[in-house]
Amino acid sequence: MSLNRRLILLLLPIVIFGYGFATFFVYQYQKINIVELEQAKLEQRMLQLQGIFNKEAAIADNLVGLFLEGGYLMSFLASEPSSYRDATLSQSLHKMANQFLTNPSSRVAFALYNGVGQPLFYYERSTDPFATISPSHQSLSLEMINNRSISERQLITEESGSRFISGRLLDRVAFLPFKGRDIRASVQLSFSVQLDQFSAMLSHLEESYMTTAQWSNILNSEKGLSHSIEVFPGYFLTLQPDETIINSPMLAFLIRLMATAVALGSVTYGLLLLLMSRFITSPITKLDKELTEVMFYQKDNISPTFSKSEVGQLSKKFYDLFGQLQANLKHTHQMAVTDTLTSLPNRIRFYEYAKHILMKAEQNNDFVSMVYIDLDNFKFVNDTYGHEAGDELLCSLATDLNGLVSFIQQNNGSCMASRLSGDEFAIVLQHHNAEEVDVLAQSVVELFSSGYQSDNYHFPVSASMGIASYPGDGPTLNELIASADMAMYHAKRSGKNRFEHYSVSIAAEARRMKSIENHLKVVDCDNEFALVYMPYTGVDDQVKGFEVLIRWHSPELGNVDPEEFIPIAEQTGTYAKIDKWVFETAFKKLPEIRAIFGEDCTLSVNISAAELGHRMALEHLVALKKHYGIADGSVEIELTETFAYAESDAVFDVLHGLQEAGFSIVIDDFGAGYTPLLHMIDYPVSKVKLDKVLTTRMTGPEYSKLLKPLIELCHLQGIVVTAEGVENQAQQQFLKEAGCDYFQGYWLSKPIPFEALDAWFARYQTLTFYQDLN
Amino acid sequence: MTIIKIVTLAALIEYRFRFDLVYFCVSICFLAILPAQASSQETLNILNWDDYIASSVIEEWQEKTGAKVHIITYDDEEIRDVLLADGSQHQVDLAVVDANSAKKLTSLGHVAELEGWDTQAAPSLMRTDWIEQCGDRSVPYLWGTYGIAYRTDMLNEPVSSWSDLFSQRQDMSGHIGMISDYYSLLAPALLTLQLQADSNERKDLEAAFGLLKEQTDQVLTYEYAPSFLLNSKRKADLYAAIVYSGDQYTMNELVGEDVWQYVIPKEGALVWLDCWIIPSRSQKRDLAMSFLAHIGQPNVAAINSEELGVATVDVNAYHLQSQAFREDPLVYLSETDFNSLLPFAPMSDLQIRQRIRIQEAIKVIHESK
Repeated sequence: MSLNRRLILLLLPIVIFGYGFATFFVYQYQKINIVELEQAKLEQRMLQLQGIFNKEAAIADNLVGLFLEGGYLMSFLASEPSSYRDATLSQSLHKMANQFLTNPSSRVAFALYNGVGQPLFYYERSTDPFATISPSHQSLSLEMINNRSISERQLITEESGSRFISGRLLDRVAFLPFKGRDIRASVQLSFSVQLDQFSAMLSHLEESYMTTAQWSNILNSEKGLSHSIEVFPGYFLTLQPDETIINSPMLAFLIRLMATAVALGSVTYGLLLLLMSRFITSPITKLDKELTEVMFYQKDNISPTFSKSEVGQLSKKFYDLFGQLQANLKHTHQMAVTDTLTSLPNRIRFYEYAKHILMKAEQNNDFVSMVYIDLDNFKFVNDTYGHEAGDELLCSLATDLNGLVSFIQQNNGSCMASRLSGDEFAIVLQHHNAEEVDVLAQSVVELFSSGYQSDNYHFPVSASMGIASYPGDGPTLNELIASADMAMYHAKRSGKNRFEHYSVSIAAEARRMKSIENHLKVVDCDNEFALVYMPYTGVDDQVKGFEVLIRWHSPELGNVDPEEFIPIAEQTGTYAKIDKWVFETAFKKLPEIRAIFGEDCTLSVNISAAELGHRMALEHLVALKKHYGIADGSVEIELTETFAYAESDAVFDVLHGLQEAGFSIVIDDFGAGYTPLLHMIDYPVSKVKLDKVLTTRMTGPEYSKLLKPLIELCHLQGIVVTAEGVENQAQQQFLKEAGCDYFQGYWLSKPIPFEALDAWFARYQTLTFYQDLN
Repeated sequence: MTIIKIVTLAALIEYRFRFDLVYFCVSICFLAILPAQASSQETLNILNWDDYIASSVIEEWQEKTGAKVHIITYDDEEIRDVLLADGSQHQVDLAVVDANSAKKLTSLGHVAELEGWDTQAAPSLMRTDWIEQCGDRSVPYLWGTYGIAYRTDMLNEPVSSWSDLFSQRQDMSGHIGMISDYYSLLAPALLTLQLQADSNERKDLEAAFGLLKEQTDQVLTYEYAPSFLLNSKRKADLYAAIVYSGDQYTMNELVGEDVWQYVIPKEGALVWLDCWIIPSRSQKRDLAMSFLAHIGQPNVAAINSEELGVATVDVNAYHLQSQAFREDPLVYLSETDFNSLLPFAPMSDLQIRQRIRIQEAIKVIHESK
């Protein structure tokens, strides 16, 4: 659940609970207030009603007073009865009524009776011209006469409305309150006033309180909301409002209150969410978003913040952490793309840079050339001078290459030198003219013009370079690299210390090599391989043994020269299989050969120098020898020239092991490579085979005198000598005279298939028989 | 045209009665300051309706006698009667009252004897019963009818009957002038209801009251029309009103246009007769008698009558008047019409009181709207 959603769910009940409680208490409190307020309002209105009553009732009294003061009664009683007298009194009463009662429709009545209760005059101001004196009014007047009551005030409450009557009983002559004995000497007058305002207000109150006012003669005290007033002595008016009067405003108030609470609650809730979102979740979300962006490399780092808040601090720590991480990453990346020894860019950087340059070149229609540099004889340096020297060579060369590159870079060229591995270097160059890369490559070749000179050493090394250029030699980086690699190998095979441009023929050659390699991996040894035997003879011209040579007839490739496929086998690791087959076949054939050529006949088998580094190979060979019951000294192992570089304790061990196992160690191609003389001393060598070139030279006039000392030197070491490449009888004779022990060459025979050995031997015996005869 | 002859002149005139507080007060105050003015020159105080004596007649008499005439104007018979009935208040020397009031005031002792007046000889009355209707202490003056005046320029259709006043006619709504006099107010309503104009039956009066009550919405004023035109700002809103014949001339004069038309309603002509009386309080009876003698001369009476547009009572005077005037059917009713008038029974004080109460109630209802 997201923080925002959690906030929404957490805050909601708090807000609802808080506002709910507040609403409840406010409602309870306000309820009491409203009841009190309504009660006060009711009392106030009733008080007002009382005031109105007093005012209106006073009108009746005032009319009586004014009527008596005005002398109207005197002139009325003094005048003869006539319509003029009535009109005069009527006018006066009308005037008085209008004076006190501004409302022209207010009903006012005046009644005048004589002492025996006969009506003298009745006046009424009303909208009903036919109305007569009301019964209550009349009965009050008559009662006053009967009771001799001099003054009465009476409230009449009727359905149609309330009236107030004020009456006087007066002396007929003096108009003083009647005190006499003879009631006939009295006159009774009264004013009745309709209490319009009072009635209107009362009915308004009744209507608004939805109740009916109760008149009573005693004070009723009602419970709850109600109020009573004594309107007039003995007249109590009670008003008890209907319950809905309180309930409906309470309900309205409750609705209003709840609406307010909901509105306020919503606002509060919204504000809380807004504030929390603004100041808490939003910064977190923002930080999260930024972190995500950083994680997906859309940004280098999150935005720095100066906020002191927790999120700000967190953000700052993330910022610092990412800063450190990035510095480390940068450093790591730098390390990852830099060769530790030479400080040149490494293979990774080389790829990156090459890709980059290729894209640029594509846009600018430039060339991009890869110069693959491989040191020749570097292993020799390591073996001979030690690894420190090798490292020095590499570092020194790196510096030189950098110098070349820097020179180009200073001239606004794009160029980079890198160390790919071991003694492999590469230069990437973006150039506009095709020849520029040749100049560069030539500069590199020139570094090795006579070996390589570092601060402390002079190394007998050279460099083979392959050049492949975009776009001609490949559209993609991988193809370019492959092409450059091919060109480099070609240069190496073509004599080293040179550079070769990639070409179609190189590619074809490479394809051929690849094809051989592939076939070697699946070669059916027994059917495709065959051994041929090249005989050699001793000084007595007797066949002493054979050098076993391998022949390969591939169904697809045809006959493949060993010189072509052996190096490939050595490089690709299939040589172990081939060696094993060769040895096993040789071991199998030995008894048959010995049956023909005698028990002293030996077989010489070439072994790959690479095999010598492996103890496993030794053990395997020993086991095989034992398996086929080969007698000691029956099989010689010839070490190829490459053996010369394999100078290590492991090689010593293996060689000694072979010797102990009953194999004789022979150095092949002696004099053609770098085979040091020391090897003949240190190694358990029992025979050396003079290289064909050496044989030719030593049998020539120029170096012939060296032949004898050389052979003697070997003999002094207990090493017998075989001359290879003997081509004629004279050579053989010369070698024989110089003390050479064995002779091998076309003079004697080309390599012979096993099946042809019998026939050849027969011919040879015949030949030697006839020579001997000669 | 059905003419309902309803009243004797005496009865008719007695009930031309209304009371109005304002006029009452004004009149009282005015009369109170009269003695100061009358000290230097002998002045004859005449209580009269407005514009009810030709000024040439007054001037002629003043020249002849050297005395001065002071006219006290009233527009309300009730106020006038109450004033004349109150023996202590006024200084009126001569008054024009309706025939019924003249008799009633005479019976109450408020009218002086006509000393040296030969009631048999002069004037030669057109109707012999007029002298009886005015009473033996009164001199008949002018007579006429009681009908409706209306604005010919404002109403869509002519007014021809009393019922028009109660018909709720749209063009008359809010433009009707009634009259506050209890008799004149009730008679049109009773006639419209096809009842006797002088009926005292309770149910008749209640029906008439109902009709009048219903009419209050339509009524502009209950004030006497000439007075209303003289005093009210809303005089232009009055289109039809109950008036006395001859009032139309005064009304045209007041509005400045000859637009008011007088009609005798088809339900019946109500006839009135005015008489001269000398209040018993008057100290200038000789002067008053001199004025009566002057105005009683046939030639003077003829001019006076024609100038006022009101019919004279003197047959000699009648013959001195122009033919056009004499033949005006609105002034002099035909013999047939006149003869068909019904005798009118006098009302008791109680009956009068009941009518006054109806009139008061109508006024209360109108004022409270």
